[in-house]
Amino acid sequence: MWTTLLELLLHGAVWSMLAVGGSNVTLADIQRYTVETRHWLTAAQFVTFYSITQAAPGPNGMAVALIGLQAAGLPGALVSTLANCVPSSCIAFFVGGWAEQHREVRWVVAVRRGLAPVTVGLLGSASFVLAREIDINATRIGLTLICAAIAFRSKLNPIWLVLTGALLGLSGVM
Amino acid sequence: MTALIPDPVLDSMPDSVPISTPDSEFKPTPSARVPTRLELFRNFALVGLTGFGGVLPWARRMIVDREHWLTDREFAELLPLAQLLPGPNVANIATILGRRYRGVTGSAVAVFGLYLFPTIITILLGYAYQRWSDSPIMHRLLNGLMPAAAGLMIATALKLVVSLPRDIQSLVLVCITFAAVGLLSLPLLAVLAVLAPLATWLAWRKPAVRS
Repeated sequence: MWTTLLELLLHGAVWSMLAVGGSNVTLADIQRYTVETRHWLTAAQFVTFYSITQAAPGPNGMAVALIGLQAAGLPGALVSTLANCVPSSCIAFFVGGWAEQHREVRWVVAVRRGLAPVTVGLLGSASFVLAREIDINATRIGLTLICAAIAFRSKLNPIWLVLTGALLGLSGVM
Repeated sequence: MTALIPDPVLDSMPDSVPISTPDSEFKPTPSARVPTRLELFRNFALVGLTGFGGVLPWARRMIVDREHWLTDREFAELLPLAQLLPGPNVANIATILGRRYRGVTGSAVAVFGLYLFPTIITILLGYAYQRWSDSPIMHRLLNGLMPAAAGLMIATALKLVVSLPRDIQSLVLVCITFAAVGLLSLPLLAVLAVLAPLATWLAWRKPAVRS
């Protein structure tokens, strides 16, 4: 039990610090270690955990909480969650602080302004790839486009769009 | 919830009073709102609670539309840093904004708030899954919820695109990045190795031109 918790803590912390550009980049390594090396869960469970945490509210990478739950119960889930967010936040605190102190330095300004369009392009790519994987029929494409248009043009709280989507899903038309 | 706030004096200060933050170079503009720790906690907790299918759209909505901490442009300029740092980008945004407004405790309450509800909900879902395993209801729910969530992501990207300076340079960079990563699926690191220095150099050359 304690060994499992320690492993969850150490590996979780390493994954947290390696997840440059989002948690998805460490997914393959998490799968390799938790499924193939430790056998805490099956490959099918890994995929299910990932899709559950995709839909559930919260930042990316919450799948490790479910892996921790499977491996060591509630303490495992809590240890995994802490290991997932604390190390990367500490790095963000110090690097972010440095960037803030040098926010008017010319090359820092140039990096910030220059990279903004690139990052927005990356965000567009991520949305496109997400939509391409999810929207496998005309109804789903339609729902995505309608939600995108409403969320872009109106001030309507998006929770209504998500709820409508969930209800449509439950009704079985999607 | 109020027990989480360690410093009632600072938190009760009016928003317009400039706070001495660890970074003396950062001066809030007169119109900029400086949130209290309770506000940081509450707003990021709400983002965590509502962020079905991805928290970024909800974080942008809270920070830009509802609380007016940043403009769309400033949010777009904060994103590269949040994305290049390890960890989920909204957790990094919570850390950086928490630090900017209220120092180390600000970061701590913002990140704690962001993770509070998702952790509880995820663990409850985990127990539900162990109990009912692979029920068709979960699949049906995801089938409708995920297309809607994808729509929100697209709308967020569009809002940030229109916030960028209206010049050819920004437009071309957005399109090249989208084509390289989204359409051609080129490796992210290779794309950034080429585009990041190029984009920085272009911004360096004309620092005065800001629309």
